[in-house]
Amino acid sequence: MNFAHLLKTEARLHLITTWEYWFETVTTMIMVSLVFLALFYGIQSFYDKPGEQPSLDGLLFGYIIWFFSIAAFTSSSQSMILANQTGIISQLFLCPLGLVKLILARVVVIVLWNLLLVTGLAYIAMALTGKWLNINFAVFYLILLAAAPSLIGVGMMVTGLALVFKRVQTVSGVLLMSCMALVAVDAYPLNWFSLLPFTLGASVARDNIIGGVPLEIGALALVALNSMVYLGLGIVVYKAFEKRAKRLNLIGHY
Amino acid sequence: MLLEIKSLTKTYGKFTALDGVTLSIAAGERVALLGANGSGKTTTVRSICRLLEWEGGDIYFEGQPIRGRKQYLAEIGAVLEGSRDLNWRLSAKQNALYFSGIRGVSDRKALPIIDSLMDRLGLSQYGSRIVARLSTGNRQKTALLCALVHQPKLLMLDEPTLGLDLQTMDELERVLLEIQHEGNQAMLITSHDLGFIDKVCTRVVLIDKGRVLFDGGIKDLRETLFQYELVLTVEEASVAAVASKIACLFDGEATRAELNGAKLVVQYNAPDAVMGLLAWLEASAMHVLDMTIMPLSLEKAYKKLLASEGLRA
Repeated sequence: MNFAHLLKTEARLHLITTWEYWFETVTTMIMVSLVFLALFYGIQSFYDKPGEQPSLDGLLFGYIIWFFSIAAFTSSSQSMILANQTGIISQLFLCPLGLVKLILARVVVIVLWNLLLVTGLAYIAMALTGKWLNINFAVFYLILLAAAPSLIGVGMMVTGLALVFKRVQTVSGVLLMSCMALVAVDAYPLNWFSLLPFTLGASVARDNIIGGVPLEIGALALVALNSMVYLGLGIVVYKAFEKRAKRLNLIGHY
Repeated sequence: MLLEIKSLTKTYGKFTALDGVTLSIAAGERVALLGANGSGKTTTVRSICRLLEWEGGDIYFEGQPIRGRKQYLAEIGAVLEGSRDLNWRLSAKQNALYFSGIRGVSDRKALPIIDSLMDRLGLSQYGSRIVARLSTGNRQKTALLCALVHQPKLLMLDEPTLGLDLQTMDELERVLLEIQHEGNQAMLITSHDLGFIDKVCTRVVLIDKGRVLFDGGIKDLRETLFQYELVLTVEEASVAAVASKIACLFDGEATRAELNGAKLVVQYNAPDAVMGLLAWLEASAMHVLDMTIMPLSLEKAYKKLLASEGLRA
């Protein structure tokens, strides 16, 4: 048994469920695009001078990256909370590689799938607004993949909380809203905001796409370091909650 | 020994869920774990599945402690929450492929096993129908399919007959015995359905308040108590005479006689132990209103044992 096999199994599950819930996938894309359009033209109506237009580019970019950050954050927590509610989580715990690796395989699949959705959303948003950003998708993906583990780590903490407390919608909701701030703050060059999850990645990506600043390896390494710290922390916190849930016999009981 | 549980203790504050549970299961053995609600059956099964942490004792699989040995999970299969174990948006086959996948079984190895098991479980006809659209019985069978597809050495079924009709229970019983016969899998089954246990299992572990009260063959459990029960209903005027004769005839035998209104209950072991009583009834021209002789059911044996332990406690 290896991680690649687990990855393949989770990828198939994701494809089947996405196909089964195709309506949800399609309506999500439509709704997200419509909300963006409303935001874009709503904000544009406040500006008179053409010089202020770059902020709309920022809005477009911010919206795309916010969509991705939410997907990365909820990739573990949402599916595990659902597994807890349906009872299937007891069976997932019987995975010989352990639940943490199973969750990680699942989030890798979800994050990769959301890179596709983000690309789609980016083109839809650019086509709807007529504002074509010069996005080098290879670089964009690289930064997002380096930054995503930080939010996956935060998601793991929420997953751990859900194992013990079952209903964690408030915490989850607050953190979801916080994603908006995390993608908006300027965290590069390094400052205190850089210590928060995902901020560094969002800033580096913004500088690259909006500001046209070439990607520096050092900046990418810092993004990855931030991610590793949060992912590691997330796993430690999750394990502590898992241990507590096992001690109190809470696994699978909703 | 395939599985050994030694002095397993689990507490929640002042409540003791498991109080030094010790039991073992050999390869190919079919063991029933019986007990009332809250007796510790499910806690024992969940401990074996490593879904909870215990305070004292340990569990060994093939001689090795299971703590910190996740690979052991590939050797066990379990139906823990019935159809709640399944993804309801997938078909039976897709569920089986998923659960075998997370246990490290390749599709090439899993697919022929799935097809064969689906045939035997009568699930093939439902093809790609998702679990949500299957009947309760077929969902239960799908859960069993998922627990068996990786060919575990130990299969655990927690209340497998819950919500099933009699026909489906018969089918389940047949399939379990067939599969077990071929794969020589050990089984640990918890159930309140003692008729099902009687047919499927060869050994019984009776647990109450977290303690093992009895561990032995089903035949041994019956022998702990009595083999047959005679229920005799006579006219009220004759009760005293018949009761006195019973006391005289069955004195010193491994029997129990009780008076319940006009109904006399005699529990005994030797099949011919009642012949004297019957002869006396005939000779005395006693008018018998009703009479039945029944072999002891597992259910009755279980209830009697629990009641006697309750009295002792």
